[in-house]
Amino acid sequence: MSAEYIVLVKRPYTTVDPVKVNLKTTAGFDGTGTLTRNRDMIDFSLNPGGPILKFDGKDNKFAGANLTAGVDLYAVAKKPSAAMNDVELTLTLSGGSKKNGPPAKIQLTAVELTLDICEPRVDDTTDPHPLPTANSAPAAGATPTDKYYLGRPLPEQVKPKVDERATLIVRQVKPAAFKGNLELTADNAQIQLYTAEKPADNQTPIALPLTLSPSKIVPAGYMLFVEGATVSSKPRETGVKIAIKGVKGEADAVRLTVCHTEIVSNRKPADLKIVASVPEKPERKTKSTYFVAPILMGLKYDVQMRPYMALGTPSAYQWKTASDKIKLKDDAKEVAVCHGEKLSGALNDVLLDLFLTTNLGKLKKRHRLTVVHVEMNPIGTGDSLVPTDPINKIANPSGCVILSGGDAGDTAKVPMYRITAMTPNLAWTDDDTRIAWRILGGEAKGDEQYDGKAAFRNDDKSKYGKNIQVYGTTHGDVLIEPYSGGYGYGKFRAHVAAVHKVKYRINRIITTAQAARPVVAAVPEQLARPVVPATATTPAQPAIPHLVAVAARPARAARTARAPTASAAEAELHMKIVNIYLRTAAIEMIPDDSAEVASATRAATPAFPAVVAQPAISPLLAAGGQPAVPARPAIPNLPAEPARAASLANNKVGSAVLDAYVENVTRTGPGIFDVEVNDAQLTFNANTPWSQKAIKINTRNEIISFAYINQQNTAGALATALLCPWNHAPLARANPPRAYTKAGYTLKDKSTPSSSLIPKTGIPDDLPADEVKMLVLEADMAWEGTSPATRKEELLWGVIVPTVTIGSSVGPGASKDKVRLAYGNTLAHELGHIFGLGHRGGGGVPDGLMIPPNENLMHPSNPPPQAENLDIIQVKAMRFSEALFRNP
Amino acid sequence: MTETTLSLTPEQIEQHARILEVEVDRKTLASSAMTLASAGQTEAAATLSRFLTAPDFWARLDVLDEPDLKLTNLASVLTALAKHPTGVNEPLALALLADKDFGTDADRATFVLPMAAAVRPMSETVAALFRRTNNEGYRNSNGPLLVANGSPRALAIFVEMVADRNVPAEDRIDMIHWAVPAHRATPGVLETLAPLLEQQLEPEVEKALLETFFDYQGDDWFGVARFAPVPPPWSEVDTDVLGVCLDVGFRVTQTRRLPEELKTTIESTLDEIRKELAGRWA
Repeated sequence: MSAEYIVLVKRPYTTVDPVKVNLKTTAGFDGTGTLTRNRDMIDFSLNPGGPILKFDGKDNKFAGANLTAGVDLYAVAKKPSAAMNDVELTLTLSGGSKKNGPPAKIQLTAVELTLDICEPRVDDTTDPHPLPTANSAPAAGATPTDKYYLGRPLPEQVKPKVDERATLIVRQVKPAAFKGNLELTADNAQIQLYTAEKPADNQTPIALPLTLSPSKIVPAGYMLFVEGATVSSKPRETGVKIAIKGVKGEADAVRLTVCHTEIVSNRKPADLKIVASVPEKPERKTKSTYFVAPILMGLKYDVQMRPYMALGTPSAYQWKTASDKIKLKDDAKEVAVCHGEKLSGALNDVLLDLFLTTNLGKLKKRHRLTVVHVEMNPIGTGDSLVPTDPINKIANPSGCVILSGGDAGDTAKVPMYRITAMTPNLAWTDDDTRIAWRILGGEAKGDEQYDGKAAFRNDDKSKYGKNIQVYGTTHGDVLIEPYSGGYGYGKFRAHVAAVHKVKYRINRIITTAQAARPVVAAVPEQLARPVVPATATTPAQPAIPHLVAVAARPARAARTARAPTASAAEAELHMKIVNIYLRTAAIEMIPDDSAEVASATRAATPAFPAVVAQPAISPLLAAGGQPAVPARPAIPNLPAEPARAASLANNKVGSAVLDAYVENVTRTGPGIFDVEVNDAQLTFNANTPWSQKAIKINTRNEIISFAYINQQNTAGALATALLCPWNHAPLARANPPRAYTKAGYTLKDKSTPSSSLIPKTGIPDDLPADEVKMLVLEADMAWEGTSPATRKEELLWGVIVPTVTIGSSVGPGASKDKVRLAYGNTLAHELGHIFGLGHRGGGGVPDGLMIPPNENLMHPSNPPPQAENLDIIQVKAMRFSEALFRNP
Repeated sequence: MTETTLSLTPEQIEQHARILEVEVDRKTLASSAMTLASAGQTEAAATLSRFLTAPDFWARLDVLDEPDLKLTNLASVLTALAKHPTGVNEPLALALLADKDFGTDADRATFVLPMAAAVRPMSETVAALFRRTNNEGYRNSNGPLLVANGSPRALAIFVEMVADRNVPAEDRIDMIHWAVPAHRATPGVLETLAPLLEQQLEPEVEKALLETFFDYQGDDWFGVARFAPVPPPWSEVDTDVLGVCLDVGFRVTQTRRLPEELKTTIESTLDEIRKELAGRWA
């Protein structure tokens, strides 16, 4: 018999190579040999896997012949030794024809190795719980719970590494005195072992097989950590085994299944009407039918997440986080609600754990995210516009214009949308690829629907980051949102609309200076006459010079030259600024292309020559051969006056009652006219009635007239839309329209976010969005349903523009740009009235809304650049204006 | 640039005067001029007025050959003087309006009349100025200035203007609408109502007058106009003045033959005033 035997303790699931013990006598033996043992720790059998030898006095007796030939016993341990060689086998010979030697003895050591694997770690302070070791194979139909028959699933590790590593524990060897090296091996490359539990991308896995000296195993065991490297194709396809180096067979084993596991959004692409989307960078893929999970989520937003496993079926769920940045609801359900409770302090500082109980065991899936606050303020303000600014200068317009062709790629035309604030400050940039965007739309037409469509300008700079560019493609509302996975973390609602062009005329109303002139009566020519000396009957008579005949001229009142202080060229620049404001409402003012101008019906008048002043002549009698001289009045110096051709009124322009005021009209540029009039009240200190006349005097039906006058009578009054057409909101245009009542002309808008973010905004956690109601203006004139070819008072619409007042409104230190801005802003505000908008934030003709208090273009008194914004309900209301219906 | 109402020391006034004397930077010049104009001090205004009558100063203050900018700073300075009147306002206004050089730009005068009208009580000279300028195209803007002045001479001119049948009724109605509402609860202005109603006004002018005092209809009268005049709510009017309002209104309803609808409206307003008074007495 050999001197030392190491026998592995067999587990029900391990394969050991039995230690062979040979019983043999040194010479022929014909007695009986009895095998005994001091401890029942090792089983013996005559054949590997054969019946276990019983030490019952029968089974353990061997015939001498057999012993002479030699009997092999196969030893397999079932319990570990307490000490080395503590199992002693004794073969005692008895009987037989020869003298028997002393009993033969050998010592064996039953060595037990244990390799444990733990359930997922619950938290940083609690050691993970080891799975049990099976004492026997599970009965048919039973559900195993152990480390081998059930095993342990592992999530497939992804980069950047965040997922759990399962804790492996090599327990101290039994018996403790065993000093042989141990060896750990992995079944295949599906797993990797590490010395660190917390994963990092730069860690190197342990090279396998790993030789381990028992001396390194502390009482708590020797710990290693295993992560899933590549997915298993079937349950328990991989595992870790431990053995004694140089000893065949395995001492213990754990089985593992590497599962493709994800935390995903509880939303599928089909759940959202996405009309345009920019892929996230770097792109994240999912094997599920859901969106990937968000890695950025909005403060106060709720996002729903759920697990996805490609192999294995979860039956219980536990969502956990140690972060105070998020709050979990339904944390024991498959779908958990994650609420953004506080702002992150750093990128990816929120760690979300999902513990899954599956048919493959328990595993933990982890997900990192960042809670951010994104503000996309729709209330634009502070743009000091200049005429050379691009038409899309005002960012975050409520009206998103429909563009196509080259315009859709033009950085200077495509509307700009912008995150106005984003916290925490993680160095977000304008074209930051961490911020991806999408547009929701294409829903059925209706209230509370995103029923429009829009697209991104086709350039990465326009698609990523804090600033993007979006143009409309189909009329209706769209939701533009930065998103991550299935959820947006900011919201901006825009109304997609085609640019509606409306014609305008600018009439500069002018008077020229004119001296007062009394009536000049016609007097005939007077021939010169010399001095007539006195005679006896007649006194001396003075000489009379030759005096030319003077034609009669009517009296004329004195008139001061009055003119608007804004030139035609400046007026053109004003309209450029107007159009930048109106672009946010998808409206563009275009010059009237008609050359028709106002004209008076007048008879022709002849030219008058200049007349040198003539003295008054007293009548003289005929005397001294000279004829009598009739009396004649003094004639002042009279200027030459040109002939004036007869003219006829133009019944396509202006108003019949105003024609008589028209002296001359000159077209000075596209849609711009100098209108010379003969009554200064039309341009100087014009009160309301005269201002209305100024608006009408040289305009055409259905276009918008801007009467640039010198000034109005009212101190401080800027331009005023005195002749506003009908606005049909909230109903479709009707001819004739229904009678005006405030209730009947109130437009409602309910969607998310609300117009001007009026509470409730619909943005978490101010939910759900409230309906916003806005009153539109009553028209200034009676309804006219036709579009006659000739002028019609009810179709003459427009704005009075007192230029001295606007110019001086800018205050001390004004620059040309500031004056232009004052005009552009004022005229855009008045056009808001023309299109049916009341004042926002109080004042006369309020629209019923008080938000925003100061920044809306329709604020009754705030100047630029503060007052700038047109909100979504205003954009919608303007589209009910009769002015738009008449300018298709 | 901000206005200030802090008193200026003689040294400060002198310092600003030196700037007005030589400075060519418009912003700096305008700033000093505004400081002096906004001080509400005779010495400051007198110092400023020496420069405001000098053509070279106008050229340094504004860009005279830019129509949009030719008045920007001058208008601000004159407006500030109107807001902070002193004894200098009247002689300065008269001097400027008599100055042929100043008159070469007719638009300048627009900002002089408010400066003259800001002085209370209105002198005979200034009253004559307003009568004269009524015939020079300023009638429509003079009405509100006169009512705002509120002194007897000013209101007397206003009464004449309302009653002047040489001016179309619609123009006088518009003037009433712009002039009266903000001052309808000023005793002197309230007292013009009786003499006005004795002027045999056209019915539409009389109606407009009564509505302006007792039935404010801002949206109809002013439409979308910015800075439209708004009357003080009855709740903010002094108790004594409310008594005058009641008295005037009561006399109107008792002594004049009014359209039924207007009468009802006035009585409704008088009820509102009575309730206000009752609330205060309670």
